[in-house]
Amino acid sequence: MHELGVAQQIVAEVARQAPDQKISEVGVEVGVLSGVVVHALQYGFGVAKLGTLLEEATLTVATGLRQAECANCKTEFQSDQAWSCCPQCQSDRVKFRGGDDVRLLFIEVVE
Amino acid sequence: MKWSLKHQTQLHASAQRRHFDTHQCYVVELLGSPGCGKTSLIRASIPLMGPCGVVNGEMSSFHDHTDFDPNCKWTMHIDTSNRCHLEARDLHAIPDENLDRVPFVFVENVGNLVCPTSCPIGAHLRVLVLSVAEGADKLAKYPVAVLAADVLLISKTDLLPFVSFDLEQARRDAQRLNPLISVLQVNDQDQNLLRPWVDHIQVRANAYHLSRGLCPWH
Repeated sequence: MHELGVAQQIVAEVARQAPDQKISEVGVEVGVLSGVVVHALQYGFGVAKLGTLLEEATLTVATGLRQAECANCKTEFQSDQAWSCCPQCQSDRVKFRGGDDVRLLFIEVVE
Repeated sequence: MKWSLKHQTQLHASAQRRHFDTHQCYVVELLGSPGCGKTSLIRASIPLMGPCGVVNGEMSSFHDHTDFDPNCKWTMHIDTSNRCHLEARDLHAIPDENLDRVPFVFVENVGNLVCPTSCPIGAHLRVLVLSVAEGADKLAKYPVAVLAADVLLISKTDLLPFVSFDLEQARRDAQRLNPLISVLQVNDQDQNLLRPWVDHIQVRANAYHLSRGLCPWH
């Protein structure tokens, strides 16, 4: 529901970082727990870019996973889940972090 | 590059928190799904609290902020016009003189377990309210809400004999996701069972005021 606003912020930030440049591609990372729905973000981006120098740009979305570390066997792993047991030793003492943000990764400028 | 949505929302939230700090107001935000009992919890807690203010975020209707206790010095309704959450800038609308009149403010966010979590409003304490009627598995279904909260408040415990709600599962699921979360139970029908919750926020608010060299009882 709030993806249009997120897309507007991304468009504004790209315009700020690459002023007066035509943009061909914008790369973002969307965390699995960011609360942002990717297809809604794509739709919002399609609307937000109209009439700007990003009009021709595509939005490339990578998935931001959660980083996890087992307190029992020290195994480190990534996950698309909010929380899970350790895949190695099945312990439930696993610390999770990240995967809750939307980050700008790259901007491709039209040469 | 280095742009991040979280950082961006945090900037707005931090600015709003500094504004609350300027007015020496400790702000507690309540999150939860529609019907979890946020409004009735605030209403029941106010008689046990000192002077406070209440901000009510609603998508529509003015229903929620009538007939509060005399401890409630002011109430304010913020109509989000169908937006699913409050934003930090919505709280600019609270008049400064209102903030100056009370040491403590409740902010009730729009009933929603997703959108408000990614939009901090600058509150000092975020409380997630979950009623036993909703089921303990709701925490695992809405992990973002658990991650955003400082306190999990399990409400309507008077209904426990009538619903199957596993308190232990709720506590375990919440603390696995967010090891720092405090878990409390509350029943707003019984003043004795409100005490632990009211004490919890009062202790935190007192610590906040004392750390600023203020006497919280005046």
